[in-house]
Amino acid sequence: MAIVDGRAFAHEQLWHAAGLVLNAYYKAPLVTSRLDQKALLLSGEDFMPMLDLIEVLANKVGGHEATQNIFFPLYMDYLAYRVAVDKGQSPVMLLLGANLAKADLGWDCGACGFATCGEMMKHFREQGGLGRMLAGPSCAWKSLDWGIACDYACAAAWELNIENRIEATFGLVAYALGYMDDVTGILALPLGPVTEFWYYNRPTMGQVLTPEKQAEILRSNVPVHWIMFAGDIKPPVKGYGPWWERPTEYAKVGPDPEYTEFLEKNKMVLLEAVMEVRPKVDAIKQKLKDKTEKMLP
Amino acid sequence: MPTVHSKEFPWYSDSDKNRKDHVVSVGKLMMTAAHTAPVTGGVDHLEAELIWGEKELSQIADKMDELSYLPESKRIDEMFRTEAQMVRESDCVLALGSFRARNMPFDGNCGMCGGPAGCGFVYSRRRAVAGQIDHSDKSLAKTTLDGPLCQMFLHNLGYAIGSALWTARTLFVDARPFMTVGVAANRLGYCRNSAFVVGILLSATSKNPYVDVPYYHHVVNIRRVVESAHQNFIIPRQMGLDYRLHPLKKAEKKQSKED
Repeated sequence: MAIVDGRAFAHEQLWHAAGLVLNAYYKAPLVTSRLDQKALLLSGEDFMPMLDLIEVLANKVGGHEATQNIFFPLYMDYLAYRVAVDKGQSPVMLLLGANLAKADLGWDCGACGFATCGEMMKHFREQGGLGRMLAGPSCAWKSLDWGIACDYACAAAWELNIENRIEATFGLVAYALGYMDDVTGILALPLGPVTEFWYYNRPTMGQVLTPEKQAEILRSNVPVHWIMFAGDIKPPVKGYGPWWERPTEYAKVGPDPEYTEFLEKNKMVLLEAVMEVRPKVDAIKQKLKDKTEKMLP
Repeated sequence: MPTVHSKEFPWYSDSDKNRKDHVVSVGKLMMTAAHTAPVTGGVDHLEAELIWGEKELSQIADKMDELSYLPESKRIDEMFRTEAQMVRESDCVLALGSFRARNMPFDGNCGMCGGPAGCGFVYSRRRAVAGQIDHSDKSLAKTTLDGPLCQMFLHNLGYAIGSALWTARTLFVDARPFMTVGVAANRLGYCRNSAFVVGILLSATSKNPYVDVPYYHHVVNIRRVVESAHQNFIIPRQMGLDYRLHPLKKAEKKQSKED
């Protein structure tokens, strides 16, 4: 006879589910069948450096609110993980990676913008590197195939009815911390916590998103919806609540040296934070190497 | 009592067309799955078109044969011709394209297309006016596909294809995505708003037509074998005799006496 708590057991089984999801990822039907999919599976203390990075960054920029201003979607995802870990519900994190710059098809199809695969590889060696989320240039067909493989991973998680969401944000964090070698991009696919809604209809968003903040995000990103008369050089902009009683606000496009300086400065701060946390990941990788050697003769 | 009779052969017989109709139904479900696939930022970019019928599939296959002889296809000519035969042996084609990949980049500076250059990589290699890519300019296309394209949308197209394929797999219908089929279908006007299209072939037959393929498949295949058999059986048949004057039993009796 045995007895076990249902939620705790379901949480433990996320590892088993991750194995099935990874099988779907590796066996996805591809256009080229030449994508060398890579993946890592981690949770608990091996996952923590990813959260540490955001926390070190917050300390350096003056708090969590300032961190939100650097890259809000990244902070949203961080918060979901932080709360899950604090509740003892750390997700099992799948890191899905691929080297999309390995243009070894020889099709010379031109979709990447270069006349030949060789020219694309040359450009990668000479001028390639990291953009905001991933490195490039990439073979268009490898990008597409990686999408199919990632979709198969997502579909497997969906079929198993496990809470999940594929994210570029924490893929970038993993990439910056060097969790995987020989890849041009990583996407993060968390499995769990064991609950209905965690990454959609996020319960954690209530901690950071006030109605005022949501209004600010929407008005800044979609101003055309609030502009009053689209004929002025500086059109007046409506707001939430009795905006007509407040001083009129105007929309105008132009440089913002202060904000540009803020972002430039934080690029360096981010780099410093990465260098601070990276030794932890190096230690984890050494542990992984030893383990893999035992698993794969 | 009405029934639905389904049988693979003869091709395009009523029973075979019933079978094909069912695959078309699966194709429609695959389209639906493609539309609900995960996509960055929830941005709709997908265009889908389902194509079936003997004439329509032949048109795509013939276009692929034609493309195989163009100078820009010299490194993939065999692929075009081999996969053209697979189209002829398919029940339908699901074309999936990203209508944003060429003309409306995701503008996320993600780096997938050109790395540190961000979206400037694409904009600087296209005719761009008023901050927009000019869709009317086709002058740069010297290759099979008109790149560079927004790779974020290409990656997202992969998810749409994946979800469509997952649906086919769940329903035990053979399906495989092809670059060549997408190019030909697009040149014929399918998924006409997209510059990057992938063609998924679907088949529900005893033998999956997309695996175990012999060399020279475009001339060594079941259709050609049946045509050969037709021709090669008809010729020796000319050496037959009148079955009424020479019934088999009589002929066999005569033979045994002689032996």
